[in-house]
Amino acid sequence: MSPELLTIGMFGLVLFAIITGVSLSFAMGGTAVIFGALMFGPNGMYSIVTTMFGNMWSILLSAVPLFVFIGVALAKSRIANDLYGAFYLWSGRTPGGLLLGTAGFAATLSAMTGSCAASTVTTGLVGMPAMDKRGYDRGFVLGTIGASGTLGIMIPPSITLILIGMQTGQSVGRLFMGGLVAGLMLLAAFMLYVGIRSRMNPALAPGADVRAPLAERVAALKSVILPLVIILSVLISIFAGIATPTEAAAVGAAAVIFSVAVRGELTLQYIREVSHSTATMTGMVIWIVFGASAFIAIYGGGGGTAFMTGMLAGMDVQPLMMIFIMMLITLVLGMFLDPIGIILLVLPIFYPIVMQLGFDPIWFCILFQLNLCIGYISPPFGYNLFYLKSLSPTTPITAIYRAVAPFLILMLLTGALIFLFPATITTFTAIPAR
Amino acid sequence: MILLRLIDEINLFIGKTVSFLIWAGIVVLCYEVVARYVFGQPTLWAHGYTQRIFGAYFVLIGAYTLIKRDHVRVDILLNTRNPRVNAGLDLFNYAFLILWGVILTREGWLFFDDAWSFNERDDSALGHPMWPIKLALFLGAALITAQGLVEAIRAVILIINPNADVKRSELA
Repeated sequence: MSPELLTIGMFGLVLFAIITGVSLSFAMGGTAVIFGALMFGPNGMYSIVTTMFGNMWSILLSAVPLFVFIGVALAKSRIANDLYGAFYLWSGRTPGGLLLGTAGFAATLSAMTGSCAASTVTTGLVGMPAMDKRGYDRGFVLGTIGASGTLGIMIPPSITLILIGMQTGQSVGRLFMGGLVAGLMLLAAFMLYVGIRSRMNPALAPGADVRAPLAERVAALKSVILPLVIILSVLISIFAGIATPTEAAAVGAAAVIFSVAVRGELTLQYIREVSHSTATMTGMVIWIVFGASAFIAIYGGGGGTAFMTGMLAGMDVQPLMMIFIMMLITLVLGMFLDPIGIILLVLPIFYPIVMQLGFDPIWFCILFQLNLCIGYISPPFGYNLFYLKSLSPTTPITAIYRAVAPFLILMLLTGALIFLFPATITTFTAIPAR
Repeated sequence: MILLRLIDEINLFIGKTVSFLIWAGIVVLCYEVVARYVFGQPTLWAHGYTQRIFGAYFVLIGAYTLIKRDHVRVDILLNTRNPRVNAGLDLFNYAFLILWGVILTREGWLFFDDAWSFNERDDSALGHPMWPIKLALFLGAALITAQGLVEAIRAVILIINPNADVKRSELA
């Protein structure tokens, strides 16, 4: 089978399958088997199982369930609520204050969890009632929550950055540092926008009438300290090279359980719920990885990966233009595919070219990651749009598209900034020890 | 019908049990950190056993994730008002899983059989046998395929008679 036909056939079938509601994992695995049988016969598919075993045996991938665990354990305890309480009290009387607090809360939550689902849904559930009570504009609220929720995979720990590290062999510590910087840039952009827009039109997000007494506000900070200490120590031990990401995640998980126990919330029921939810969330992620690795084993085995790399590399364009094209492809794929799938499917094609052109690999990975974040809120299939819909079932999906549009533009602008000024990222990513 | 229900129950039981493996992983990894910095002596086994624990965990939770409907699907076409269409799309979904799963199970068995008959060991200083984790791969593949078959049969029943009771297990 010619590589052109293979490419169109395999990607076409996966796309068709997911649009008709096939799970991404099964779509990729099944497609791999169909094309594997066509090209190599029914006995030529041993590579499907060897690549799957390679993933099972990856110590870095073991960090995924551990970071999922930390997120689930925090979300199911009362820690998240207390944390929001602190942001609520500190949001003050400025118009849009609660939205600024919500964005900050989502970013902090993102520093504890590695997925967008956790940070978006938790932020919405905890934050929306208070903002409804004050009469905030629903669209403005949903846009802010959806956009800040994408920080879940940008601000470390991040499951997608771990997968990017696994695919490229780059240091997860450096990727995390880059994600932290880019995440804070995004957060600043969101907050600036929310602040200016609510100042110009206070009716969208009216400020509070009274300010909470200082003593109460300081007391509320207590709840922030413990989770902050946990997460900072996890990150610092990764940055300083004291522990591998997997070890740091395990110690972080133990610390979260310890602090839940100190609060007296560690019941048998809680342990059961956290374990079960961690398993199914991990199952979803890992089986997408399994499916994608089967897909790539067959696609690469049939010469597809080399063909695509060759075609891209053969294009007569400026190196920066090449990166721009890659970003465009990622953005378009992000509208249809899950970020995990995109990482595993296209990085093997893109990455050798980026290295050959001599760009900073971490800078490229962070740009790539930013595009995946944008994919979370880009219509029609961005996951966060569906989370927003489930948070606010009465809002039509088109209204949700409109609500996230300004934030989409902000994210694109931030991407452009990083694209044009790599030093915004590379200055910091040189810091981690390994 | 009883057989479908039985496979559900087996997979629910295995999934719930395996989900506690993460605690073992946390303990092993924390012990390794303590051994390295407090006892000044990293262990030989923690790395290899982390790989074994999480490798088994990954593959064995697949079927459980399926029962819990957590292998996310794009739902623009799902939940139509026509139950036969929904069941048909379900069948299409599980057909992909079964195709993949059957191959995984068969090749997984050969993979295990190789490790078993040559008594393959990992290539670290630990040198413990590799067959148990490869057996886990085979089992995990077989379990998710079995669950896929169960769900596909239910979908076929629902296409024939949309009001049939397909006896799904309670998802506690």
